Amino acid sequence: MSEKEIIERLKKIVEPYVQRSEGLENFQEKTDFLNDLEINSANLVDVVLDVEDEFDIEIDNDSMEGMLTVGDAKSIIQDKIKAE
Amino acid sequence: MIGNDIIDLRLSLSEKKSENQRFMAKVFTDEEKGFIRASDDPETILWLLWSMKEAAYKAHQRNYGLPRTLNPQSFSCTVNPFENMGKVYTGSKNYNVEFEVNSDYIYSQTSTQSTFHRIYSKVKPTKDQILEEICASLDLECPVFRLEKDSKGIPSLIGPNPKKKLPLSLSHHGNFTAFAIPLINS
Repeated sequence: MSEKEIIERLKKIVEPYVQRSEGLENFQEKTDFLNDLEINSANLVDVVLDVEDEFDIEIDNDSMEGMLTVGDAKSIIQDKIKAE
Repeated sequence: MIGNDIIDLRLSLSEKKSENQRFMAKVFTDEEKGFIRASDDPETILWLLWSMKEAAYKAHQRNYGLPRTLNPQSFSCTVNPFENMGKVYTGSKNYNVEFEVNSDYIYSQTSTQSTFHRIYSKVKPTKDQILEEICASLDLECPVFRLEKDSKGIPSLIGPNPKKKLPLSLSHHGNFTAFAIPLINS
């Protein structure tokens, strides 16, 4: 799966939780889920669950801990897919 | 050392999270899950525990200058419902948390000093509006003060002397905004 495809799929996943829609206009690796998209932290757990479903992977708590930006999420997804 | 958290129950209760086993497993310890299940109102109690974890996390992060993380399970709660108080443990540290639960919101706060806090109704407040509310509540001259977040997202109130940063904790959810600020002379 290409990086571009991962990021496109991620964007669809986070959309329903975004409080600051301007943040979606420039959705890229640097985009911060809390600061740029204003996703609240409980919904960030929902994002993690949706990512697990979408990519058929399991994200343990150690990985979840560092999932704060689109780039973080992309790297975690890539690593988990590789490990499958 | 200060940390607070507000939950708008109108938004959170409708999510029916206590029925979502995968969410519960990511957020709560086995003991906490047992406590939530055994309660009369699991949906409210789970958000109470969540808000206690958030308040303690903010105080802990500030205390040790830690980077932001998302690991709610590493903060575990015990609750004394009769005193509206609880304790949150993380690693070898623990935080006493006071809380308030009513039909509209849950508010949790931890602080080692006497603290002023205010909860008010405001949808999507701007930074300036929050600052105005703080200044009005504490009788400060607004133009002299400003709110600043450091690179880790930890907020402070900065006054006439820019070297003097006053710690404060902010929380916003749905219809509610809350701030907590340790009293300067305490």
